[in-house]
Amino acid sequence: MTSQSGIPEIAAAARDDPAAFGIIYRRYVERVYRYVYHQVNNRDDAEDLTALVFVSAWESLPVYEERGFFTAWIFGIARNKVRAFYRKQRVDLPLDKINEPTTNKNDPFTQIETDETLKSLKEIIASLPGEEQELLSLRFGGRLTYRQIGAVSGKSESAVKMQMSRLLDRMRAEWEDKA
Amino acid sequence: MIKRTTPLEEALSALYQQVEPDPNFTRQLEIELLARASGSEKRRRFTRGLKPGLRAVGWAAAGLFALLLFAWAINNLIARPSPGSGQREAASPTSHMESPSPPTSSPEATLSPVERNPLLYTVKAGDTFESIAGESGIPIEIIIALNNLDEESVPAPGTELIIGFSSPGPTPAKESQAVEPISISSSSEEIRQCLRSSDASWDTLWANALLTTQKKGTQHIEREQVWLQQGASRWLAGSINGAPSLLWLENSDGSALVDLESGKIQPFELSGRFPSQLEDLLFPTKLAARGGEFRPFKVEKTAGRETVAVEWTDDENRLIDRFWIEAERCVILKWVHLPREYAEASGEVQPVEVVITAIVFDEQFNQGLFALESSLSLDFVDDLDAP
Repeated sequence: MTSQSGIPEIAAAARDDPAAFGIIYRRYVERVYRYVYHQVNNRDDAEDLTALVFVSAWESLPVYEERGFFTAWIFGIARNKVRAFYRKQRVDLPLDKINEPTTNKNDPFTQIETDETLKSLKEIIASLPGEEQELLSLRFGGRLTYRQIGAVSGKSESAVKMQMSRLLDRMRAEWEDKA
Repeated sequence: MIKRTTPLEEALSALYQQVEPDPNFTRQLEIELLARASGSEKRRRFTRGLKPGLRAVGWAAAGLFALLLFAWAINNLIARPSPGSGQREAASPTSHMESPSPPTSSPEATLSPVERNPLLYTVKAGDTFESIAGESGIPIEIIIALNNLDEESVPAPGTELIIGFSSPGPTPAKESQAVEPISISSSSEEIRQCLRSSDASWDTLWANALLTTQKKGTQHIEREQVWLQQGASRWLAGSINGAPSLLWLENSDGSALVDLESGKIQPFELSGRFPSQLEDLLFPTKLAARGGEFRPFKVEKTAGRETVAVEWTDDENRLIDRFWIEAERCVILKWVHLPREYAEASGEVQPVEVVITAIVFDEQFNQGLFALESSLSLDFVDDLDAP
């Protein structure tokens, strides 16, 4: 099954067989949004980009079987959309502020403490280079496994693990200093 | 494997997960994607300018949905005569998922690895990502992500790239199973058993029904038609003499309610069934969960079929409902609900009578009926031509 002969059918089948898409959408929209949000740091752009990710996915939807692989696929699209966004804006990937009002369901007392802890963490994140910020967004915003991050970023699972472990060690030291 | 998360990881998780997408946004996007699925919207661009319009549509549809849900809830609550008779659980929407619908909300069901083959593209000399994307119709980033490629370089000629997966064939049809027929001499337990297994007795079902409701003494009659098969349903509702005003569709994409007058579409999170009392007649599992007693009192023809008419009395032996149960499949063809004081006093809409005037089992449906964008008529069909 090589080939060009099959190609028009594929595209057609993908469009006509949207079976999994509603489910996929609901499963992934929050994760994709969180990842994108932490890359662009504002709601409007995060919404536009999230919409673009799912429209892209929809328009080209070949249906995937393996969930791990699918996650990498969706986040691969998201990552490229974020990159295209910054290319267009001709700016680097600066996460200089994570300052949006957040939804916090905790009670006001625990919230004060949490906010203090998280505030110092935000400062640390903001000082990191773009690549490391992206790694954190994929891991903690998108909730990707190391294997999936590897697939998205073209690295091996162990390389991602290593990079994350070093990053967390550095961050931990800094965080403890601040606390 | 037990994995220990450090306080730092917990804090990071909390920080990143704090951000929630605006539910209005996610709903609008879902509506937009659904519209694309139906092909009715041609490559509409997402721009900020578009969002207020989309929001308005979404809110209107949500309002309509809330209204319907409310009416439906009222119907169900009132039709359930003895509170605390253990029916709550059976009344949950998920109970309809048992059959004949496959669990469409389970990702495993639709993303299972069976019978899907990768579709390959062989790289030619001179190919660029743009040319491959152009030829295959698959965006560059997807080709890159799918094949785990570096976006800077195109693989060597002769390399096979995955550009998609072929769709599996249609799922094998469910075998209908015979249920134990009932008669005038059936016991309450036998009737309950038959009601419980009723929906295993057919593969597809079409029905036309008239629903009479009563509100503060005024009667109101509506017409409904329904097409049901495994994993898909279509329901039309409208006035008795007019065209349908509401359409409910459920297919492998999910489900949606369409206001046919305004064209507004409200997709549903949960896969369930059409928001109508008629559902209880065609899927009587919920009724089988009732306590009390079912007592046959006569045999009669309804919609051209042999039925056993049954009285249902609650735990306190009060006569509440009469059901005309199709003897072989235990679908309920007629339901007469006897008014009770509290419902009348409250002035709520109360189902008084639901009658199926025509029913057809196991007919092959045109699958276009279950597509949102369908060239098929949205009118009710005549009983004789059905389905």
